[in-house]
Amino acid sequence: MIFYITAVANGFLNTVNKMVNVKAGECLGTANGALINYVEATIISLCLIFVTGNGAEMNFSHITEVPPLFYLGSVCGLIAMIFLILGTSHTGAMASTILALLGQLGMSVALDYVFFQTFSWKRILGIFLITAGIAWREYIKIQDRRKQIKGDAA
Amino acid sequence: MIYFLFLILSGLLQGMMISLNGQLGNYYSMFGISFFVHGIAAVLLILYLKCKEKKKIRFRGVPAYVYLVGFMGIGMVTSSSWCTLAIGATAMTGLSVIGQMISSAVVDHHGWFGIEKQKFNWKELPAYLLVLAGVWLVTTG
Repeated sequence: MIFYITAVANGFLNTVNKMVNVKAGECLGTANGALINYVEATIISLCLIFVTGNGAEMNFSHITEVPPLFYLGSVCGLIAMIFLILGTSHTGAMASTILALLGQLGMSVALDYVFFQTFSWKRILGIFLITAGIAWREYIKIQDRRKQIKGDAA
Repeated sequence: MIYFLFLILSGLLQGMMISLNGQLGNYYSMFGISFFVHGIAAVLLILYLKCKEKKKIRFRGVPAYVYLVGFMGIGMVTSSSWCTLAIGATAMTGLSVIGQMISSAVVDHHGWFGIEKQKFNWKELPAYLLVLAGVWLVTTG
């Protein structure tokens, strides 16, 4: 149960983090604003590794034991951000939200199969329901915004 | 058409990022994962700022709360890696989506962080329930 609650809390944190990152981007520019997050988190994490007594995992021999592919998560994250900015600027918020989420959940299913050997059609149906729900909400939001703009103009 | 492809690719890469960060959890503590995830991205961004944009790196001139962003980054990476290892990337992503939907609705409703207030529209409720049903299928499937 704790994992489910933490996963939902991760979503809460994600929203707040996005808003704060937007503010940082407004003040310093997108790349410089994002850099605050990465530099700060790197330094604090390094301190916490030693405070929690896990300093041994910073040994070079341990670092090289890990398959290099597993270090590429953040590279994927950065390239994803570039694609998201490019895609959103030419398509709009609704397409951006739905397509990116569909891609993300699709890849998660594929990698769960690779790493945990789990797959079920129930999950695929779940993904389509999630995407449909998000699409529905975005549609209502767009309608609301249009009404608001019309109301302001009148 | 190419831009739709970019968006799908962005999602695929985000899914890959969550899974790969989760796999790092087999070798490192949660803070170890956070160190590598943020450290590698920081180096790449510094290279980009210096080589491509040729900009000076600066961290001053932002509201004080922005400096909490590093703690949030650690919280996000460690919690997602911890949960991914236990319940899988699909369930983790689905549940996180529900969290994002609820929190963004609260932020919009109250107009926090200086954004324009957008009252919650009860017509959106069935959409939330549909997502909830989808998340239930994903987590129990």
